[in-house]
Amino acid sequence: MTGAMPGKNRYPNISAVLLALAVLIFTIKTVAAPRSGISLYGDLPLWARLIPGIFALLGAAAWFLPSFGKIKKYVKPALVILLATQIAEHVVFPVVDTYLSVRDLTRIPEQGKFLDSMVYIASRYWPDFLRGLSVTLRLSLAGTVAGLLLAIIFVFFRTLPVGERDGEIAVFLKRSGNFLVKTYVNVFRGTPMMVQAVIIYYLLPVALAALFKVPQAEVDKIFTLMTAGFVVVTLNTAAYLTEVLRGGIEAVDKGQLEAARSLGMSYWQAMRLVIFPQGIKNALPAICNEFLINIKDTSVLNVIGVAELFFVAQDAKYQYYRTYEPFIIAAVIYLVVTLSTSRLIMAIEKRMNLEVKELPSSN
Amino acid sequence: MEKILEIKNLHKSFGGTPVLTDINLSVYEKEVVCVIGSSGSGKSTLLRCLNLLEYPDSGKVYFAGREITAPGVNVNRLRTEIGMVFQSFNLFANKTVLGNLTLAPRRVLKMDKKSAAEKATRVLESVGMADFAGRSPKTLSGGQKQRVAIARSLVMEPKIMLFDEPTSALDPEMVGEVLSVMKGLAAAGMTMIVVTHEMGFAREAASRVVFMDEGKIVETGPPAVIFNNPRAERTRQFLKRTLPPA
Repeated sequence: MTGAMPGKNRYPNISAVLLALAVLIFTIKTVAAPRSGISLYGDLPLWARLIPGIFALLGAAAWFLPSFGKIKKYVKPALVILLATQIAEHVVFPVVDTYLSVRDLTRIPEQGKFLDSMVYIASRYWPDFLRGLSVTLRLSLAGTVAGLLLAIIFVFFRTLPVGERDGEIAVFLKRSGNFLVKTYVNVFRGTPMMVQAVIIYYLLPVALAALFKVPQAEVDKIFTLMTAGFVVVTLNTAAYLTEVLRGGIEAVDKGQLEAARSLGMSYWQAMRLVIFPQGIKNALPAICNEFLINIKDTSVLNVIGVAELFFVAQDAKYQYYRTYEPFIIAAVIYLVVTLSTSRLIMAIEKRMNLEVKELPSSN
Repeated sequence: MEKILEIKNLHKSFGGTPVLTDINLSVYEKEVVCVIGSSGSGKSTLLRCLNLLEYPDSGKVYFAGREITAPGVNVNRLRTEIGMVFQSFNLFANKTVLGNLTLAPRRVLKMDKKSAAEKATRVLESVGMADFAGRSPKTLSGGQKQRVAIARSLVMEPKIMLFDEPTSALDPEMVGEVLSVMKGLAAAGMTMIVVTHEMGFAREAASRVVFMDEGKIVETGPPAVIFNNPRAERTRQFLKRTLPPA
């Protein structure tokens, strides 16, 4: 088996573990399961019981296959999924089932029974955790997208060059635009999001009501907790992404702008059609990273009462009088979401780089 | 012949350092003017003053009878009539070869997508790059990039083409393909100003050679005179160092 192991496989250890698991499942399926009665296929004839096990073996073996072009690209994930379902069915579910049947979870386990309490809370409170997760993801995704759009506008003012032939008014307007954006960025990067959240949530509606001379209740109807949370994340993200984008745009070769201008494009056309697309592409990894950060940082919105994941965990704490367990559950959920998101981002970035590498430069 | 470009008493300095001093030059239609001179002599700055990528400090530039250095001139419209080719190609990295050619015609000249693409394909054929229309610029060789860059300027149908050391960033073996495209252009009657270190090209294709030194035009004349019998001592020194002994 080791002879067939391709040198470019970066996770030989995972492959080995998967293979061991597959062998284990295969053994359980064909030998142990029919006797213990755990398997769903216990009453099926032997050949039928063998099929999922063979798939499990194939799934593991797929990790060791040398590359054979496109086939492996699609077959491998399919086999791995099969293996995963086998692991779930024959390892995870039986373990959980056994655990639940052994433990008495009809009422909350006593203090100190840490794992029991976690399982109890998770099994009772999971709809709320899911709702919290949904709020977290919606706020961070919408906030990142809106913040990016805002940052694209801001960075335009931030990168406006003062030309030597600009009139005094143009220079003044450009300088003030630049200064305003710079100040905005400094204020929002220099203060904690938690403080921003409190100020925006408590002060902004009052200010808006006073400014537009409408009753406070009218404003409050529009300016809900979710709106406030969205505004906070958006403004905060916009500040960080303005600087990120500026870096990306300044990394674009100056010749690109000169070439565009020399063809008769206006500054705005050149920026929009040539410079910004390249600058945003340069900044893409950092923009994705900002989304990951937002998934975690939306937790500070609990301070104004947005029912995101951390807030839900806090609720569970008060409801069940258990301090650590709800937060461990929240931590696990955060970890799963951020890790899988970062893997997804890596896959997308790899794909984008692949496009570049398709045809090597001959110069 | 019609005078297409006239430079009068042009001065330019960067942060107090004079780069161009009292430049006077006229270029006539269908002329190929090669500007030679050592690095830092102001050749590129002079070229960039002609399409206003740099603004002269003083002096006047007339193009096709209009003063382009006057206040209120529509710079963007002016630049559609003056093509420019850069040393480092500057192809738009976010566009394909065809996209590089059609961007300005569509956005500046407001051509529709189809006729812009047809025209771009014709121009690409003329520089021998039609087979590369769908490629990304970064997959091309230096010579191919520069040919696309020339085509990108040509597709705007400029009245004059400015070349800023078009072969200086190329591998020696790729210089020929770019120069032959430029010779073809000259033969087709395009007015060209070429800043170059390619003395062979200047000798062969130029109708007039301008030698610059320390921001001043030292000598102007037909290539035969400049290369074989220069008047100024400075020109003689420069040529002695750049030309291989005959």
